[in-house]
Amino acid sequence: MYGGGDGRGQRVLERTSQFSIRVEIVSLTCEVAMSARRRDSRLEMLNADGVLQVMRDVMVRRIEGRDYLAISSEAGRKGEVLTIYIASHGNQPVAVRVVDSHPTIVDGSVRHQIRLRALDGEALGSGVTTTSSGDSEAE
Amino acid sequence: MISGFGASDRSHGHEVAALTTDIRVRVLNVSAAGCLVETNRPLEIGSVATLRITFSGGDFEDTVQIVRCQEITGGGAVYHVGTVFLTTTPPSIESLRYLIRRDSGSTGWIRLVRKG
Repeated sequence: MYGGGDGRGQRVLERTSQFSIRVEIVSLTCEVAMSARRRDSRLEMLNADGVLQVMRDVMVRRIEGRDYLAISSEAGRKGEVLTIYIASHGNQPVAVRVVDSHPTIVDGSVRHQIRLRALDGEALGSGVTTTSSGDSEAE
Repeated sequence: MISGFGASDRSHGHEVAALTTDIRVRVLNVSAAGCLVETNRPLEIGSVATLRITFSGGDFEDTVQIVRCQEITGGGAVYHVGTVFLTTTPPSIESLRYLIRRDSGSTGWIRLVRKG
């Protein structure tokens, strides 16, 4: 349980149907002291699932077939499914899978060269790989 | 094996892009400053991410920065990840900041419980 309340109790916000909610006072006693460094009270979200979409900038090059080669500051995990957004393609999402990752040196710094393979259906949007810039990328 | 990659390689057909990873999380608690979430993989401190939560029939999201990542001992691959909100846009009605401030009111403690 999270603490730091002001003794006025704890409200519970419950979802009772898809579109309605219920608020009630439930407890006056389950609070504990909050760390002095916390400026804001915390709200507990029970059973709340979410998705954290972590984004990193990379340099990418289209190689043979459905494969891309990306240079990243972080290693890839083989088998992991990622989404790539190429600026010159209008940032349309392409679902890819990491097929290989190994360290490389770029201007004296360690980076990671990640080989990515577009999944079936490829572009999550429309026709990313059929653009003219995609053709030049394969050079 | 470490191979070389120089400026000439970088200019040879490479393009600017972004790679995104979708990581499922469980939201432990939230405040006006940020969120504490639980994941099954470590995340790099300083990384910027978009946190999206479906709650009460609505999708809420905000940009966050990872400020803490702590492995929970004895819990297998369980990590508690502390994030702070990055205010890059005004809080729209679909933002987590809006949800939190709207539902916390001025009296402080609220426990958001989702059933079923």
